[in-house]
Amino acid sequence: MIEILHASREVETDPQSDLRSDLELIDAVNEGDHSAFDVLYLRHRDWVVNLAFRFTRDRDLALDVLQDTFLYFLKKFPGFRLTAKLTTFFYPAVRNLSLTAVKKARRFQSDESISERVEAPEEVAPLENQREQLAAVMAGLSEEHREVLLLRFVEGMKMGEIAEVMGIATGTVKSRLHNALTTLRKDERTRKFFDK
Amino acid sequence: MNKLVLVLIAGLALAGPLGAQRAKEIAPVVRFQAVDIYVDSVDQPLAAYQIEFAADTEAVKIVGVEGGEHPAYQEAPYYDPRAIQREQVVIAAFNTASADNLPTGRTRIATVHLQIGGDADPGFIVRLKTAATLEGERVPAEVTAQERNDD
Amino acid sequence: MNEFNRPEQDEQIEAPEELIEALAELDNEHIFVPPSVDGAIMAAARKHLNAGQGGALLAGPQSGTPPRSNIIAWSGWGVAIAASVVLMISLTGPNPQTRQADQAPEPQETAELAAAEAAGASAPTETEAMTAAPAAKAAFAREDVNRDNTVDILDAFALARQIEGAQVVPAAYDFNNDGIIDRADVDWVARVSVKL
Repeated sequence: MIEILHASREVETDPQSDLRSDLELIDAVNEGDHSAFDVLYLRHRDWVVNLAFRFTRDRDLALDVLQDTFLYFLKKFPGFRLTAKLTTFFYPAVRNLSLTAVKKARRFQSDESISERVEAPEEVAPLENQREQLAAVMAGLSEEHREVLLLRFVEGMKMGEIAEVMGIATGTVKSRLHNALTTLRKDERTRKFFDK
Repeated sequence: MNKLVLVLIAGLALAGPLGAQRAKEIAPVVRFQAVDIYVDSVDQPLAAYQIEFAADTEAVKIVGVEGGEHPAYQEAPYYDPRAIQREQVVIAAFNTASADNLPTGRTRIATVHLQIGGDADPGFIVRLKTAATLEGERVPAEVTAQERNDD
Repeated sequence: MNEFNRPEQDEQIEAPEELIEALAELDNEHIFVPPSVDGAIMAAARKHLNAGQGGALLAGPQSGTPPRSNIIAWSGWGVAIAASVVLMISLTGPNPQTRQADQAPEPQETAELAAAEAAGASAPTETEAMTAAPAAKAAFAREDVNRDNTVDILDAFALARQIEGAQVVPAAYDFNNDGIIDRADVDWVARVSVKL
């Protein structure tokens, strides 16, 4: 007979209600506190799946990568040691798993019935607003430059962290960041951000 | 005086079309679309289902969810009210009626009403999470979604 | 190691605030993670961590404990053997999981590994089944009425059938805590199952 150990457990625990740090939660998981893993998962789930979507541009693939990432993370226990931010640990895992997922998905073609994923129309509306213009310029950047820009200014990572997750030297990070910003500054569509 | 009357009449005559034109110019570009959701449980009576529906753009907002065609599922299904004004929803329902009173084969289980902004031509993802018999046993089934063309 | 002498130089590459806000908006995809995915990952975590716990003899960190050691743990004299195994593993080298704490998966092998893990994990061996009773005190979500490690409409359905069948229903199913188990509790479970 299987007993219910937890008298009351919400299906989704509010990760913000648990004030323990990631390090404390990992220690707890290593010591057998399974609910601590749930908190870690819920705390980082959206960041992981959104990052996966950034790489895959596909919702279903992003969800697959989400699961693969946390399965990979789970395999590290017991005995996992956190030596940097947890996002620093997740980032290369998500990137690599996303690349694999995209490669596999490209082998298959599905019918575009409405019951499957429907592709967006190819023709693009004229770029009218600032957001679309920025998106266009960003799309023109190399993946490395784009990624450095987003990691620095959207994820708020420091140079050293970016270097670690991307597996490059800090100087290279700085160089790519500088070049990416120069491109945005010089492009007439995004120059306005720098004019003020 | 006659000139004044003429001016007034002309003004009133133009006010209609000009006003309509103005209204057309300032009216937000939105349209509404109903999307019918079908589940085909083949030869098994459908006693429970759960599906996920999502549009691939934020230009789509869900504005309503209604029940299906079979009496067993005519009542509005369960869904999170927070899905309203978002682009995704989980829909589920069940019925403990006898097999004779449950749909078999392809049946419309729900309709999602959407508000679509701008010129967006959105795509939709609909996923069947579960379909089950009276005994609660999962059965293979197919979910499809179809935009309704109002004539 | 930071190759710059002055740490503050690390962050001197700045971008206009407006650009940062625009970049954040650009990257603001929100991917819906269905409750079923959450449930699957947390269930996998529970299973994995329970398997690790099953062979544990000592409270505290389980580093070095092989995940399938519950076989030894539950035999009569397995206590001593398991302790010896743990000691031998700790003496012969670090836990490979710890060594790999910061090592990101290579794209191909990790996806395959994760898939293999998932496949293997879903089919318990006969020995695991025999020893499952004490070790598998799995913590199910309160709303997981049918104990399939997923909270979905089938749980509401199962509860509804129990109530309509005038079966004896566990008091734990009084989800809304009104002292009776009725359709309101069924609705409670259903609402949880469709929660965004």
